[in-house]
Amino acid sequence: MAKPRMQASDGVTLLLSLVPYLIVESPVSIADAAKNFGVSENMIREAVEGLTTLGVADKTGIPMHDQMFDIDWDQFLDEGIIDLTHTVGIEGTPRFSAREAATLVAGLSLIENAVSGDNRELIHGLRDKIALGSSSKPAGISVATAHPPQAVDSIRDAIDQAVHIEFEYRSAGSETLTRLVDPIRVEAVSGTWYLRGYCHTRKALRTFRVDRMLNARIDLTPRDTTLEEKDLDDVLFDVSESDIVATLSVPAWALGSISDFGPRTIAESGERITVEVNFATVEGVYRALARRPGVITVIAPQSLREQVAEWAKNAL
Amino acid sequence: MADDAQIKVRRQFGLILTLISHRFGLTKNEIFESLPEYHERYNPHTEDKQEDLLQTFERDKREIRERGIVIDTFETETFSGGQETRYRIVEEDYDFPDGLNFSSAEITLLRLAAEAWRDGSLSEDSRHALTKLRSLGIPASEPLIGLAPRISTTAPAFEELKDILDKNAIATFLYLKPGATKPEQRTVAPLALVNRRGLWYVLAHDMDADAQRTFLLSRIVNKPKRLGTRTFEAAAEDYAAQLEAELDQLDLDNVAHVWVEPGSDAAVRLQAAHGAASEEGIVEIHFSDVNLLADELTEFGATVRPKSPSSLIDALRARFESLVATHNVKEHAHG
Repeated sequence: MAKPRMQASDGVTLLLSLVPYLIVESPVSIADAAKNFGVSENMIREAVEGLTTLGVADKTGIPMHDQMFDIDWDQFLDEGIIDLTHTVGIEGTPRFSAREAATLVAGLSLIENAVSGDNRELIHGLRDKIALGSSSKPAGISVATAHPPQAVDSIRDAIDQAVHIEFEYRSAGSETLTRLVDPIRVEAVSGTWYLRGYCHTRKALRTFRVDRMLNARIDLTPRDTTLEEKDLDDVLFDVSESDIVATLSVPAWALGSISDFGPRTIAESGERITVEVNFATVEGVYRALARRPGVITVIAPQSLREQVAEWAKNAL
Repeated sequence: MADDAQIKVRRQFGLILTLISHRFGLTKNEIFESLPEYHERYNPHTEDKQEDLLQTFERDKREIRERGIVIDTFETETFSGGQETRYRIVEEDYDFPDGLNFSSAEITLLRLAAEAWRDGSLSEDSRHALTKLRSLGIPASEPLIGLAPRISTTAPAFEELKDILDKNAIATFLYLKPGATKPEQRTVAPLALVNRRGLWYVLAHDMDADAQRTFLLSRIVNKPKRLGTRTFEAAAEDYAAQLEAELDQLDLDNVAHVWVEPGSDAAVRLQAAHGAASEEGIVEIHFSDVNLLADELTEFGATVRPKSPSSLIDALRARFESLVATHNVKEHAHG
């Protein structure tokens, strides 16, 4: 994941959040505070140092000493311990903005149907708690998902119990195999659920579409891969297995609809663009064309054009 | 962080502290005189600097409010009988109400929820929410759930529309109506962005039709632009919930019957999503938009056969006919 861009507003929110944390937790080590906020020790050190020069100003423009934050400097410098000795102005956790609350509520909606029953109940209660902790009603953005395929329940149980999962799986355009997998993580991307895990059948890390699994069942053999979530990269699939190179003609405005197939522009004439795209299977070609039927066309190879025409004719 | 950013952090944090500590509020000039980061730039006698300072103050207020902090303004009478605006932050509006607590298990779920936003400006909003939650000092429970939801906001029009929505402004874009082969210009005031089953929708007030319309972001084919500086003041309602409810109702009302070829990829995936097929191999699919369903089914070709409604049969036939027409070798060769 790309490191998020830090902005001035992040610095303000960190200070506003650090104060209530220290009011409750201090004395606390710089290391523990950094771990709690998921930031570097250096950022915490700088934030605390900054805090001690800040306070409530009066009209002279200079904060009075008793109107400023203060810490036990000896402990801070010698032992890396933050001991807040004086605080001013703010005490509690700042409320969420409507938009911040909306991102939390939407994220919860996304996982609601994939977590265990206990957690589902917690999520119901959390919606109210988030609304209570917001300065105005969560608004403007929302997320709703369908129930994930049932196999997600079995996979979740397998992850919870640290055991294998077994299922029949039909890869796009090929035969059905029984797969034995050490599940690592379930991912939901744009409404589609994927399992990422170590496949003992193929002896490699693999990504599976959960809606392509049949008869998913727990296999009680303890998991034996040492791979963890942090070993997964952000890319779901690699495109090493690509047998078909298709040349497509696409109006410029429709190019975005197939961007996830990785089109390479090879020519532009007027409003249309000619691109080359690699596909693992001919089903992939159909999927790309189906995004904008009659708008995106295969121009080469000729055999593929004929295959597409035949495929579409059969469906009429 | 650059020095400018550090000064900004100090100025905004100082402004919040000062406004919360003065129960009776402060005037703009009192604020400028009080806070070092303002008063160093403050000179009541030069117009230019004053203008710059006012802009900084306005921006600070806006950015602080964007983070959910309510800056209250009210008018008071001056000694000379005029009116002046005072600013303050009321503590009860500022922080979590008493008694609002979270368990470790709840924190774990909230972290997962916040981490679903991986890109775009909403990931900034969720990051701020997470930092605020972390002020509670509650560790997430172990182990984590082995779940990584992701909400993609990489739809080409998303950031522009969100920005225009935030400003209550008006957007223009080219929209490809389902079934059409050429996009057309639309002028709308966005009201809410809703992600449903992985697709982003925008509910908007269509300025030409003077009525609410729903658009699919994946069918917007250019970058939406803000139209002039006009704003659109919509009644304060939960438009996201409204659109969700409308789509849910459509889903309930509309049902399609589709035959799936046994053992095909279509059969496996459509049954996983919509439940088992009947003995005759018919899957019942609830849908909100017939063209959207036709789009989804096209990739399966002849391994699916729509049985009802007739609008779905027609929509799929039109798609395959245009695929045949654009790939028919002979017709193409003879022009």
